Amino acid sequence: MSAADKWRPAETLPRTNPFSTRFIQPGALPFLFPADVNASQLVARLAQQEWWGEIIGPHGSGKSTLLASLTPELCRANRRVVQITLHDGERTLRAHNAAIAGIDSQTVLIVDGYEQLWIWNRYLLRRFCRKRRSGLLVTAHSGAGLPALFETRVDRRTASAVLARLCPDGDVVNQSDLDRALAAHGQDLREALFELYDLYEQRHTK
Amino acid sequence: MNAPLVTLTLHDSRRIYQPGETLSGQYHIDAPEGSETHAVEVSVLWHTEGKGDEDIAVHYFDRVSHDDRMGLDFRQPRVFSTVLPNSPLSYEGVLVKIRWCVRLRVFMARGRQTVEERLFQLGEVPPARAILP
Amino acid sequence: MQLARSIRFYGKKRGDRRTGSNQLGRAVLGAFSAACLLAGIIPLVYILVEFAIPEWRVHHRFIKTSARVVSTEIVEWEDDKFSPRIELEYHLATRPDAPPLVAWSDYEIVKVPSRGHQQWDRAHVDEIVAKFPPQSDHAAWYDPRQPETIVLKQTYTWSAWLMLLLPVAFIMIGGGGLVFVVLTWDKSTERLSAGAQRQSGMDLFQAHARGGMSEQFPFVPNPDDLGDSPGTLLAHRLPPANAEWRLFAAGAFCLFWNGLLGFFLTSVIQDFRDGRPDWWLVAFVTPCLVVGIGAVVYVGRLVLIAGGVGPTIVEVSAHPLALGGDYELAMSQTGRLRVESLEVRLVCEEVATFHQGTNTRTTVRRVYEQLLISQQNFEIHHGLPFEARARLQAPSSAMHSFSASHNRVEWKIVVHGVVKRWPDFERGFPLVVWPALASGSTA
Repeated sequence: MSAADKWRPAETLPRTNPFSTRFIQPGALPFLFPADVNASQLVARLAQQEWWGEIIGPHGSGKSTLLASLTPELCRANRRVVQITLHDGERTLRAHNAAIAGIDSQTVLIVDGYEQLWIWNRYLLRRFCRKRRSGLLVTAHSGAGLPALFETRVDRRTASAVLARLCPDGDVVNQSDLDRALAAHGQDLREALFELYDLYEQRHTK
Repeated sequence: MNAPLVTLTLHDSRRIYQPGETLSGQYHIDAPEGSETHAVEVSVLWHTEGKGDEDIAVHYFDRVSHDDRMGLDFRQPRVFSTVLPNSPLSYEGVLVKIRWCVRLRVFMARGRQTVEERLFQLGEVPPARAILP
Repeated sequence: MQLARSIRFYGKKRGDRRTGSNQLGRAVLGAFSAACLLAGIIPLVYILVEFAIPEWRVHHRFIKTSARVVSTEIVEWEDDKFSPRIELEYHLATRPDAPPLVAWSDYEIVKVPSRGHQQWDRAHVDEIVAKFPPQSDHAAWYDPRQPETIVLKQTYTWSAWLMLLLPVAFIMIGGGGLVFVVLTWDKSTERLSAGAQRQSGMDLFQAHARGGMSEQFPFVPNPDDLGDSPGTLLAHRLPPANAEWRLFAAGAFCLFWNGLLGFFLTSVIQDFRDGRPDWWLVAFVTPCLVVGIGAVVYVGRLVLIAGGVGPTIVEVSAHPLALGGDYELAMSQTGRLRVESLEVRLVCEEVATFHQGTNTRTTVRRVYEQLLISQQNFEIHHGLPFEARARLQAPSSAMHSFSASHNRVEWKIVVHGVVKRWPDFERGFPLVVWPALASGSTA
């Protein structure tokens, strides 16, 4: 009989890996704002820009997480939010036509991954939003031609705060593990957290 | 507004079930003044946890509301019961974990909700370990 | 290979049942391969005849002499194109005492093939003619077979050599396919069965994520989706995972990429010849060239594997398996191989897909493996497949097959071969593993 066959489940709750997708996906963690800015200030700035803006930042720096933090504030500002997330290789908005069709002057259309669109499709989208007088808030890795709203970046303070939220005890995975993971992944916090998932599993298994 | 006190228990007080066995339990809700319960949903479901996006599937679902039944008193224990399926079994994998639970969602006045869960285990699959290359 | 196996008119495939469709499939594969081969040979011959061979002869067969310029002229063609002509007087090296020959030279050997002359702009031709004033002496090279053919410049048209990448890719794919068809035309019953038995390449587990589940076991892939495929050695034959679409996809990419690359390369070379290199274009083309060469090498590798390593057949005594159950496994490997090691394993892997922001990633982790067959240092000869059997004991304490939209637990038989002087190969055969059955139940 193998070691696995000898296992009998203990009458305890299953262990949860704090770096599981459900805990780190956009919306699961609040966006950790710098000291001088918060969600309502960003929404106010967006309103001054006639609800047009772009959030730029490198991979895994929290753009989607910021969007999730801004959405409730946008609703509180009486805006209707329509969000589209473009995934790898999605170059057109064909799959999202139904969602976009109903936008109006009270809407803020959020496009996560805006730069993946073909240039022509970006132009058509901007023209459509102007025609409907709708707001447009996008994320991109670099300037996409809309008024700048916020630039996300990962620094040690932010990453440490995220780790503290996910793993308050710091007994299995600690700050030095996070520092190593960030260094290995070029300050991409998302990739670093994926690596910490594997590390947590390995250490807990031991 | 104070949250209601939700009591959710599984009969037999056990946590491990086998496929084909009956899972039963009961719940009751003590709601303070001003946060009356309008409806309750009981689900027996599984969801994944791990490195992949969450998958979820509901095996059993029951909704009870004042709209359907007048004079409903949620302070009285209400029983639920279901025969558990053959799969998927609870699983503590490396990338993929499958968790079964009973979830109680309580809908109150002014759109507020509260959720209570009781985890249980279906089957006895041992935890997995990664095979290193 | 895949083409032959996907063309079949009948559902079953082996022994005294219909095999005609396989012959037709092989014939179609042969025709397709011949077409690819032809598509490669024709431009190859063209490039060789019009560019490579004449230039090579100028360098290696033409005889050098000293020629005096008698006169020059510039010929004007349509579309404002020009070519130089230089009249030369020279002695043949083999007959120095004979009267000198006088002949017109077109300056260099390569001409526009459809025109029979160069097509240059006026400024370039003026430059050339200015180098050869009358009564001046210059080195020249004449063809010993046709002494009146004489040139004043030895050149290599590098763009033509680079364009060879495209026909070479076609020839490899077409030639490899034809070799495969010829070698396997008189194949054994098992090989016919293996050929016809390949399904359309649909991934079993993706099908189940779309709802092809067993009713008895929710979220466990339906074993019927593997197809009702009886074996010849044991009850069930397992289909391979993700059949050789890779070869077609890689071949198509290689053709397309190198075809495009040829155009850009020609432009780069022409710019260098004109003395006006476009460094931005060079910077763009250089990595593309690396990719193009890599694609040819990769396709060649796949052709070698597909052609040299024959089909692998895996059969089990029952399917689906149930955890804790006892089964038998049989495998057969054909080809002409000198095998260093061949291993067959029962493997379980977790597959997790996640969308984070705009990224989609899939991670795979192996969580169980059991060595079933291991054989070292032996030869497989054409027509004499290597066969082996083993007991397959499905572990009693492991996770059953599971399939949902983003998370899966997959079981498969993996055959891994290390072959002397040949790329390693690994083939997976998915199978469905049910939870341990209660006593009295059957799979």
